[in-house]
Amino acid sequence: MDRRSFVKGMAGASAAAAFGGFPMPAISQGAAAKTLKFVPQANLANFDPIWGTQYVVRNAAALVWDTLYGVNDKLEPQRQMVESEEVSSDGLTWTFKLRPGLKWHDGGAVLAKDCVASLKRWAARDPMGLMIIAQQNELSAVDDRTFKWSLKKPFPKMLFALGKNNSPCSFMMPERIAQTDPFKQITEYVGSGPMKFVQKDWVPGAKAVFEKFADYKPRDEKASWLAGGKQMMLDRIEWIIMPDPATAAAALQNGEVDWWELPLPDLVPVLKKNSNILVDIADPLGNIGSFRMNHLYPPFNNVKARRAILMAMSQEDYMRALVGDDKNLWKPLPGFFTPDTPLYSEAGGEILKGPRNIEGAKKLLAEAGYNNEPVTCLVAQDQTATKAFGDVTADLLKKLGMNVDFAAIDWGTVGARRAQKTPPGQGGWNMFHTWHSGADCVNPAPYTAIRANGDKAWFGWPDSPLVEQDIANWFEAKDASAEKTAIDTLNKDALDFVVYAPTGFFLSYTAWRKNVSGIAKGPLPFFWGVSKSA
Amino acid sequence: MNPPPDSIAVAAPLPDILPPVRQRGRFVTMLTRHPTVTAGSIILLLLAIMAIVAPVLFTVDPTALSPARRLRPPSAEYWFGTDMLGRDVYSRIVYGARVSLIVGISVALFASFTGLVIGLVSGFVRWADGIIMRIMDGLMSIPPILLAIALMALTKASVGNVILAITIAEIPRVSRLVRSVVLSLREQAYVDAAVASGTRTPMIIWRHILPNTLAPMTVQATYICASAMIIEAILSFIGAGTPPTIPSWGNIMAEGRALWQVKPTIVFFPAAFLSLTVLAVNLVGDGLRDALDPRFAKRF
Amino acid sequence: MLAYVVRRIVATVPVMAVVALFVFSLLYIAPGDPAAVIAGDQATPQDIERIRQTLGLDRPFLVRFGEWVWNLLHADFGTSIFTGLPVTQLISQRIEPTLSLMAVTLVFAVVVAVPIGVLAAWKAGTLIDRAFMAFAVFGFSVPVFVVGYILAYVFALQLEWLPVQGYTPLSDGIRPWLANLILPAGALGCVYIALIARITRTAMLEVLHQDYIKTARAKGMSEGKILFLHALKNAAVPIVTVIGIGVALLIGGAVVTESVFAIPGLGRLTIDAILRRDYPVIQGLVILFSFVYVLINLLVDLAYIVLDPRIRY
Repeated sequence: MDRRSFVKGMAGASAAAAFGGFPMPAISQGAAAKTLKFVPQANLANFDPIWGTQYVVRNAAALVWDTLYGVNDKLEPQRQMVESEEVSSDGLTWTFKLRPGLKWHDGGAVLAKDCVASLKRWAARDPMGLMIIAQQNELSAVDDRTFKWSLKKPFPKMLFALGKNNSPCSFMMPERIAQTDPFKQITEYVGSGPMKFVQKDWVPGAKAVFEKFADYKPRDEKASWLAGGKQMMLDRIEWIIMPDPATAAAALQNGEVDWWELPLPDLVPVLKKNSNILVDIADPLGNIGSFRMNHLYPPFNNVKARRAILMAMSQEDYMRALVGDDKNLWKPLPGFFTPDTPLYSEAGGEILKGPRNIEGAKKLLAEAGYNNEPVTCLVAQDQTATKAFGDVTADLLKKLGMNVDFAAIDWGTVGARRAQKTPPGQGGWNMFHTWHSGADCVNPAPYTAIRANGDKAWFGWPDSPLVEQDIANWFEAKDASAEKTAIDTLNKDALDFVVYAPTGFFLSYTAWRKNVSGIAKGPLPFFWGVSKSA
Repeated sequence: MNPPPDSIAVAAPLPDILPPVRQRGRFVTMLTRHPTVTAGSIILLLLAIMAIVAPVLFTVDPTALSPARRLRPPSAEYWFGTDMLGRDVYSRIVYGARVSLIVGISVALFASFTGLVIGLVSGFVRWADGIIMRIMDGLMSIPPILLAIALMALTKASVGNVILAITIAEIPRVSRLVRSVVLSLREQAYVDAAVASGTRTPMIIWRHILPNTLAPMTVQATYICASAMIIEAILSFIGAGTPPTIPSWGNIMAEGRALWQVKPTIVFFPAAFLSLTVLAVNLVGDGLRDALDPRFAKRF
Repeated sequence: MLAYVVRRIVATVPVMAVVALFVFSLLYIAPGDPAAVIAGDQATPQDIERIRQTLGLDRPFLVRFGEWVWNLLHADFGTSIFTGLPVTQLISQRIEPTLSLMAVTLVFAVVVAVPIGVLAAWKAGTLIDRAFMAFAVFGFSVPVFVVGYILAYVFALQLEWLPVQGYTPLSDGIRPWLANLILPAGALGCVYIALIARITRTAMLEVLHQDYIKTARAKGMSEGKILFLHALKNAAVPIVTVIGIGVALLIGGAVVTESVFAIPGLGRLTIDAILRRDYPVIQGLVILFSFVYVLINLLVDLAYIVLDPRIRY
């Protein structure tokens, strides 16, 4: 026996004597096997998935609330709460019929009027929902299990809108809760999903507890992302929020938690070495990093200056700064759409490929009339992605000879300042970093960041009628090949105009202990089909 | 009745009869007789030199990153290895000394000066005393961390904001110290005599009060310097410290903290330097306190 | 004496008022918009404005301040912007872990530091004295989180004696409760130990030079009795003072320790609230901290009366 295990043994014996062994939680051994302890990607501070659209809220909400439709791993919407649907021949009227026997956690039956109220609340906050309402005639319940939505113009992407996994998802809530103002938080968390939310054990920011809902009736089909039968094999799920990644890694190694949603890439080798831990890619749809420029003020109001950035930036630097040395975790992205999806395109992406051209970029900057004005960069220090990107950007802009005004602030302040349209010297900004979930960038529908409608566009306010026209063309596309052509044109035009500068495509790992099985890849952590042995 | 001592640097309460004495000549002899002060001062001097001549100490640009060469172990090229962005840890630590020392010294100086002024006013102007002390109490009860983050949010993270936040948090203690000295000296016979003979208040302050506050304030200042350096490290840990474009020991540790299982050197080396500096400052403080207190003059 | 206590309690009111005004103003001018964070990435400026209105964030300063103070006087700390829960509920959920951590740290620090200080004073000038003091200063010069990491690595990961993170309520048993608190208290206590040990040594040294100690020795009393029965009691005043002052240090250190050891306490709540601009929570917490600090100082001053009969108010 080597010295370390001897010391451990002796120490363990005395410790056991002192502490009565490793302290067990209050629940018994058998019950412990049915409880899963999960470390989520961020702080679960509030729990209204329509009011607060953060990813972590959506992930937790998927346990408690169910949706009418759900996309599968091919992004095809499948029926979930709905038994059947009918579209009129002119595409203007949708009639939906609910499955029988659906129940709320507090015992009541799920009725069509609940769905109507929920859809109204969801549509008020969702970009696609807003488009539907804009051309809506009427949304009403026909009887207890049927409701219909009639429109003035056809909306072919209706099922995708209802089943998508982008926040906000159209979760169904009881009518009394769904009637809460969409700009105010709900205070009751009753749904019809496979788990109940245990409100009395909730410590916002520290712990959230979910218990199995005995009356949930899963569908018969195999589960695939948000589609199919959500079989729950766990009795209890505890979400434990850990602000310090080193502590989370240690807790996973120790068995104090069972599943860590997003381990820090640099800690993954340590986890992989541990024989009790398994690691795999979490979400094949990954994330797209963004260098978002302000199109209203110099220097980035000139397309040449924006192109200079594309010419000089090294996506490899950005990606490695964030995810480290593991080549499985990133890909260069000469475009705006998620790799390995049907609409991925590299059209027009030559400027991002090949060796970087600092000299050429400097010339372009000079041509754009850059005169050493300070470039205000808003960099949030409390988000790993933006912090890493920000460091690389500071270096890049210095190499280009630009005058960098580096504002190291926090994400909350970024959120406030980026909304300001004032000039950079007076509280405005020139660029900030962010990232988009790959699921939000598979096509232009949920992709607010690609819009270029000037004042109404996302922060940065790019203004390009050409890009807008390309987007409209995609919405009108009749079949898959027409969509692909539309996307290729859109990609090229958006890159030429430089709506924003993509810093690359990155993935993340997820890590869990060996005695947990059924973890599936997907855009959010799915708890159905997951089980734990002792 | 002596007010209860309520400052961290417990300078012994001064005995009743202690005329102001210029201690300069004795000062130097005392230094040589007190190895702790000497040792501490030498260490600090070396660190300060290191900070000032950083560019010639075989360092590279501490902010030059190259993600392709991240997390390398110590080698001939990178003496302490590289961090998660490929920056040379050795260079960052050498340049980091600048920030840490500047923060420590600035806070000590500003807090001492401001505290001195406030303490003097509070001690001499009786009607202001109550108000000022209540405000100081209020300030003392606000955690400096809250102050620092709020200031960071007000503008942006910068060394100036860190210095400002920590200074505000340390002023109350200095002002209390000065005030208690002023209060006890005000009752002394010779001060009464000076007032009676028509000496104006500024002269009284300059000739009688100040010299007696100098000793405890110097000692207090060294402790403030040490504590400021540590607080800067903690603020960086939370993300409200020095911005990442300027290396400081605190933010090197904060950035490397998630990786301490994988690359403990990123946390270990700056921690060692920080500890050494704080230790040296504390040694100087302790030594000065022992040296300047007449009752311990013959100690060891 | 009762008059003194009453006067002190009344004197806390203006202090708290200063704190309240200061914090409220600071938060009012600080940029960063909780409405923007709530509205999410895809929101339009109109959405954000609507949320601001429902939260009441667009009203003038005096109105909001006045309303807050009024509610405060009715023990209503307001509602958290982000969670929609009453601030009092958020605080009461998290007060037990923080109080436990502070109590255990305090006990641990005093139990370790006072004997060290006494011994060092007794053997003043010798190697033992210097060694103890060096050890104490060391505790003061290493940042809390570094100590925390080292302790967690050695005792939790390698030796597996103690859990790495988390908090078990006292109601689940003393052993698990203590097991979760030992490492954090150890990390947090290092600074405190250093402080208390130094002050103890200084105060003891001062007392040990007094004539009555020499008399006791001459009368043949044992060193132990002299040290602990006479000297320590008379040295107690500055020691107790520094314990009081150290509470402010503890609050700051608790924030870090709670992050490192994932303890769901008030420290983490503070940081989260500040970063999100959850104004009601921040204001409530600062008032609470100030109140605790002022209370501790009052207790310390009252303790003087017990410890030093010469002190009278």
